[in-house]
Amino acid sequence: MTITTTGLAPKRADELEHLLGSLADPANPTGATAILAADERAEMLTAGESLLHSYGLNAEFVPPELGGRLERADHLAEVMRSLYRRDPALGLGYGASSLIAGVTLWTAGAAPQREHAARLLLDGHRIAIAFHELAHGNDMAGTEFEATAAPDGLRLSGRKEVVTNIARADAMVVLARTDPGSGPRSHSLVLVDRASADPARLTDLPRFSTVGMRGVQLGGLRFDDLPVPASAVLGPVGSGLETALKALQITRTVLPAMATGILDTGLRLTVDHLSARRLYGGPATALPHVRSVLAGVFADLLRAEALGAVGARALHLVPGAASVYASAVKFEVSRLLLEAMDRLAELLGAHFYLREGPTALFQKLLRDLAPVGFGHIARAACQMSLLPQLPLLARRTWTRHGTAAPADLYALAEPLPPLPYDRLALHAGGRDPIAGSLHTLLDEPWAPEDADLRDAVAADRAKLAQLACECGQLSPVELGVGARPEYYDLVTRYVRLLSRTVCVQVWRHAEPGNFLADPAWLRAALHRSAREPHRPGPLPAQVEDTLLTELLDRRDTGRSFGLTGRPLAV
Amino acid sequence: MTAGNRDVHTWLTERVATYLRRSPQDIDTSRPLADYGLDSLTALAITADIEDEFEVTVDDALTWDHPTVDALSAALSGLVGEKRV
Repeated sequence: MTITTTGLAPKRADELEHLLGSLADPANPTGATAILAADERAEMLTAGESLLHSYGLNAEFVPPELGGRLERADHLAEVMRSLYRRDPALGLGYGASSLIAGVTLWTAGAAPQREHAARLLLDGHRIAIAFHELAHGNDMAGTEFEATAAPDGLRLSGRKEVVTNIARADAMVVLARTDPGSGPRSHSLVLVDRASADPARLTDLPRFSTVGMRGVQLGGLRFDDLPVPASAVLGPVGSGLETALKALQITRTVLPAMATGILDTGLRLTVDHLSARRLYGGPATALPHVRSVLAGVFADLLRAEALGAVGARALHLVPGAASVYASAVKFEVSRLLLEAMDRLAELLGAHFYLREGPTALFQKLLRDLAPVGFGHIARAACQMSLLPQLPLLARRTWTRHGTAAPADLYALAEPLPPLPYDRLALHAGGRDPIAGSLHTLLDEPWAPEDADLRDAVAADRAKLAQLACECGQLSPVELGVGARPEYYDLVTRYVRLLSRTVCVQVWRHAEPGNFLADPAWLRAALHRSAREPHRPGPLPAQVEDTLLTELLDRRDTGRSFGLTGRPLAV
Repeated sequence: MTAGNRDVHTWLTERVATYLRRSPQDIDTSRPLADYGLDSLTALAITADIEDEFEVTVDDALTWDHPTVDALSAALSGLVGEKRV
């Protein structure tokens, strides 16, 4: 079955954008003024939550066969960008946390569990994802929370901490230890229905306050021997880590992809501010340094979204390799966003620091962005999960021609088959059709004027061969949690080559006439991601001019700065 | 190196020993691989080695369900035997 939804963005993304209305309008209950006021009070934006409830946002997280609209992971990210562009706390606090719980259910739940969860979400309720224990961070296998066997089911005991919406969720998916042993079969996921749970055995912990995402309701819950039926376990007992490692590939990919909406607004606020500002006798946007930074950030946003989009499409088309791509997307997209927002902050100077005035939203977005680097999974944990896969990737793909990915992986407007939850895998088994495409790219037709791009691809192919040499000699034993710090750089080098290849492929598969088919953005993307001892220098003048012209045109016509360049309610 | 008439157990022991840069005699095949530093994620690489060596396709979580060389050999003997016939 192929879904017929085509295009870079679904039509409903425009509807949601329209409903949320103008960010700059002070009278808009979901505009910047209201968003900032809620943030100052460390509250969720009530008007935003009501709007999303009426809109039925939760249906975005539910597969179509269960009555929802979760057809395409890339479209999900584009729809959610409308929230992240305004108030990331709404994106995470209303939406993404239920999505994370959802994907574990769609992956491992039995039919009655999936239907129950879908009904809850479609009725506008929340499902929390209760994995986190402060003492163990990303070390999921260290989970202490226990589910012990009882004659009529299980008894849950322990604490879950810093969990979004746990106090106001109707259900939660809990990661619990079901075996005292240390192996990967010692944990299970348990779906806990709060309404039917004995309240005397549950104690809400005080809310955790945070630097960013201040409105998000981060809570904790203590379980004291709470009885749950045996039917509450998702999948076989002991499959908890396996389910988590598979299902969360979806969210590790789409959450950073959604967060590019933050940079989109950050860039717009900066361009607006600097266009209106006169410094040294002219507009600030005429200063060569300012122009250079803005063009560079625009290029970084485009390559972040390109990697996010291809990563999301890989979930559909090459799910067996998604364990690699999900970690790569999380690792690289988060880095691009964090660094780009910091560069914009330098341009804004004091105006990024002010909590009032027309740029006030920037400081909130900067704070709200930070969790992209550590929330859900930390960047270093992504490197750690990629490391043991490197020798196999080297042996099975990087050194020889492998199976090519379907061309639709890179043709972003093309329809996608349904998300194959059951084909996500613990490891890619060395299959990496994206980096592997470097072997064949050189043989494809190249226009004479693109010789520089072909040279860049040839150089990347040589770098991949070099990386394969180095990684192929490593034993997986050296690449576990005790891996030497210098090995982490191998991951960084790989992800750089992977994301460069993604950009080349997206450009090659872009529809003629679309800005993505213009080699200027690709030249910028490759320049910005070149491996230099220091930061890459300024873009070539012609490339910078093309990007700035496009950037300012999109600003003037109220369009997004990402891949879709679609009209926004600015 | 091909499977030939070589025993799955011997091959696996050698493979693990190579990873650990030890000699096969130093591997206690009844101990979990994790005890030797092949944790849940690094042990997954062994499944690809098995696939390449015996030209079979195995479950990605094989080493999770059979965490020792002894258990892996037992799980594989049927599969590999069938393939070789």
